[in-house]
Amino acid sequence: METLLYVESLTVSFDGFLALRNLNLIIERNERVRLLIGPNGAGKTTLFDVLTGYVTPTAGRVLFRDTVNVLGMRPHEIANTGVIRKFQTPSVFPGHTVFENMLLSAGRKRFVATLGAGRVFRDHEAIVDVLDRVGLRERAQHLAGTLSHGEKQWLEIAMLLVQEPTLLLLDEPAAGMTRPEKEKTVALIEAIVARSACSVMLIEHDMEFVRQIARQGHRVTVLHEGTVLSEGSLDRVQADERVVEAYLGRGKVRGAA
Amino acid sequence: MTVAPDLARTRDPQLVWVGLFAVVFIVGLPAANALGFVSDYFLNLFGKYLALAILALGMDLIWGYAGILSLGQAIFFGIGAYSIGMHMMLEGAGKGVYGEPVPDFMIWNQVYQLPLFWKPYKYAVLALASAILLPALFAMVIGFLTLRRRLRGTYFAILTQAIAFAVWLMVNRNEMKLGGTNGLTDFKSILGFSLGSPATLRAVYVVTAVLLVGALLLSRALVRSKTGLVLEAIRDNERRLEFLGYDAAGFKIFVFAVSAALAGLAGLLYAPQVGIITPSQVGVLPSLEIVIWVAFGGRGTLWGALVGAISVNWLRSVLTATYPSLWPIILGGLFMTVMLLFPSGLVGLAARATAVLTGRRAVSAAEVAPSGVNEHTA
Repeated sequence: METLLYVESLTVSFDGFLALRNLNLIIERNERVRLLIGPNGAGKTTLFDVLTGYVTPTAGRVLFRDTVNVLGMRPHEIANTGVIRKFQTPSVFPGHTVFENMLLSAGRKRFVATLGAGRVFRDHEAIVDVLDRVGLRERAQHLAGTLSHGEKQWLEIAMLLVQEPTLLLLDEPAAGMTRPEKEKTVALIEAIVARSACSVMLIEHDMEFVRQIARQGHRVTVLHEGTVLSEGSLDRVQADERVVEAYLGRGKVRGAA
Repeated sequence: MTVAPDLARTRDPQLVWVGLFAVVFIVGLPAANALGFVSDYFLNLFGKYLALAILALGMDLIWGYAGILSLGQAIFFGIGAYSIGMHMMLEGAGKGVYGEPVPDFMIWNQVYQLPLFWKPYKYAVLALASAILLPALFAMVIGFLTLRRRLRGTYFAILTQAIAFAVWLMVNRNEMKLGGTNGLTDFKSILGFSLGSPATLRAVYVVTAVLLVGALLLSRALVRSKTGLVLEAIRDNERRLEFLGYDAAGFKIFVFAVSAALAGLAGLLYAPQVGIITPSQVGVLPSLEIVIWVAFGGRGTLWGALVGAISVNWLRSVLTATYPSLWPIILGGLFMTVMLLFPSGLVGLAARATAVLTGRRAVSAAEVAPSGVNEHTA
């Protein structure tokens, strides 16, 4: 079997509330982008929490690259196997410069390795290259806390890219962005897919954004009440009666068609 | 290798200042003393301040840089001070009033044989090792039990404070054979040199100053390394750091152990210069005072720790001579003033003044610090 991610009967219970119920999901090795959509409370972020070791499921199995059993691993261990996550709100280190944020993300993470490493070291070419790609090279010396909201989101993406992830988990990367910023983010994600070998799993509420990403023919998975409701191309899931009901049934409007 | 140097931020004061500090305190002050410009009393006073500055450096590393508030630093200081104190007591044993081979205070408690745990302290090397390594080891044990279990913030502070209180209670007991409330005093000599001679005290002063500069250089190297970046990142957003692939607990235990070792070293240098170590220097209150020194000087900058420790203790010397009962109130007032009016301390104030004078706008890290980084509360 050649899967990148294999999730079987995953169940997460928060004091009796089932955030995920019997969720199954498979991403093939050659699949580059998977979009995750669903109404609020569908369990999208909880799924990311499980994949990154932040939440321990009550039942289920998660295998990364067929062999790595993600459950039971601590967050930093999972990160070091190549599953890297971007948080919903921008999570950069505000008191560090953009360059220092990148230094923290690049290179080796073991304690002894950091003792010897100065703040300027051999990873810098990779850093400058990635900063170029997200358009933040000119701001390398600025404190990350002084960046705009959109720039912080891009910095965080840059911090993930410099780690050369195998699977990139992006939780609402375009949240709170202006329209031009969103367009730039779409282009950025497309460039990531085109230029690097990593696969991207992406949670998004903004249907316009989803449509732009999905136009490349990427698969969309719809989550609802903790389980997979529908899966396939965007056109197919949008035509699915159950999906329409799930969104409308909760009083949500399905974005302008 | 062309872009990096100018991309990396260098925000530590230049080495020149360390050199200047070293020249003034290692060479200048003792020379002035030898020539008669500075009294023995004054030199000894500064010797104490410099020892306490090492304690403050350790506090700054763990609290100022890594953001972990330890309210038990005085325990480690006490271990250092008691270790050398025990050694000095044994050096003087047999020369006391009773001529017994145990320290005098033990005779008062009807102890005529040296307790087993005192025996290693006959040897200077073991006493020195105990002063520095025992605190580090103790901190690692506390760290393993707490920091690995994600006990953090206020809970860690309260726990360390409780340990400080427990240690204080224990040391106070005569059964501990550490001199009870009177502590250890009446030291005759250190490593064979009489403590009654000004030359010995001058030597202890110089050793203290040299070790302070050494500790400063070591701390400087640490905060300027990638480890330093990681420590500050723990302070600002620990969870983010873990998802970047860092085992934050390991870094936290390390910095706790380093701060404890520095506290032990400070105690080791302090006790011979003051001539007494009592439980009152080990408990909760002295631990809290260290926090005030660092906050006053400026947390998160190494100079802040030095300036804070030296200035507050100098102030204490001046004020306790004239208004002893007012001192706790003044100390508390000082802390509140700093927290409310200039949270980045004296060093931050100086930096801001320089920025105003040179017309530059300096953005301090505090201004952009995260307000609520925990997105998982919902």
